[in-house]
Amino acid sequence: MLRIRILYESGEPERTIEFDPADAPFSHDGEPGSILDVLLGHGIHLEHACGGKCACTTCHVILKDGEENLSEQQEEEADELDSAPGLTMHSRLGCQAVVSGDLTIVIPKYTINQA
Amino acid sequence: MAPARGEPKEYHAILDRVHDWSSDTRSLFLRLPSGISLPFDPGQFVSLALPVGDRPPLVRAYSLASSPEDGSLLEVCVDRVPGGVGSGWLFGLAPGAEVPLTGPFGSFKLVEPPATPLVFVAQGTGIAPIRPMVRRALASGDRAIAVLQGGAVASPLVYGEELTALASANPALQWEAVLAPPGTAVTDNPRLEQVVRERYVEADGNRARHFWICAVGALATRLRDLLRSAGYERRAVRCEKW
Repeated sequence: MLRIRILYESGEPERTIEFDPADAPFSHDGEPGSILDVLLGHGIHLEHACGGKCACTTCHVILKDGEENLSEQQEEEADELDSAPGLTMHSRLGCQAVVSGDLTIVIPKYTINQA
Repeated sequence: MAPARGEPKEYHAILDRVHDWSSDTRSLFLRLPSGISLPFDPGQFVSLALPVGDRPPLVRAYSLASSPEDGSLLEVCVDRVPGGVGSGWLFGLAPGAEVPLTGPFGSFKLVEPPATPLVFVAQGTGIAPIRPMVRRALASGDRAIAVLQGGAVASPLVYGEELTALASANPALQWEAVLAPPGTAVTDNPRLEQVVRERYVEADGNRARHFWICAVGALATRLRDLLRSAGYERRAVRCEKW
């Protein structure tokens, strides 16, 4: 079982979910087994205005721990992240980053959708 | 008060009418309430939360094929996906239906065209976000603009007649249909890749052009990589992969 700890920049109470990656996909959006897919499939909302197709930045998350447990960033994700508000060195798009180990993520207070 | 440009908001649009390009491709004209406008940049999309699927809503994005200057009537172009519950639901809507949407979104856009030759490459309904970009580019000066519109032999080219007329009226605009060989999958077009390679990679050493590419899946990625690996600057090759 893998574990994702979710922290909210907005101050909402943190959440932790456990899941078996072999059960992916968990939802119908994002890459199977991605942060977005896992969160949606466990009842945790993450914005994804483009439907999880790597065409916007509303599923932007910031890795606080476990960044090495994510799939390698591809060029289209890097292209999109260029326009993410609040971009950091530890930013990923939830729809593209496939989880292979434990993580702690921060959901930014401001996305394009909620600024 | 109208929101600032680029700040997404929720809107309650009404389906005004439809236009069928073919049995599987349809434009939906969505009317915003009187006095309401959606400020967006050419190339951006709106997000629809569709009340379908096993865990609704199903969030799907649709590029705006209309121009910001068109006011309260938005146009999106929808392909019917075989077995697709989202596109199936949209094709089942009758005029008068309410369509809640959020937007605008997306960094694949053209705001102020650079003073360099512009090349737009689209396959199928990938022409939808390109259409308002071409209009914006034409309104912004005399630079050379080329549109390569890929499609299938058996299907009408979406906005093909309109772009032909625009090219006739504007010497700066070159429009060309690039039809895929018969039997090619609708999302693929090796001929389009060939034309881009011949014209913008092999013909000269000019790498000052700016590109906007919109296509489904691997074709979009291949076109992007072809140009970037040929020496065009990364940010000069913008790509939207559906």
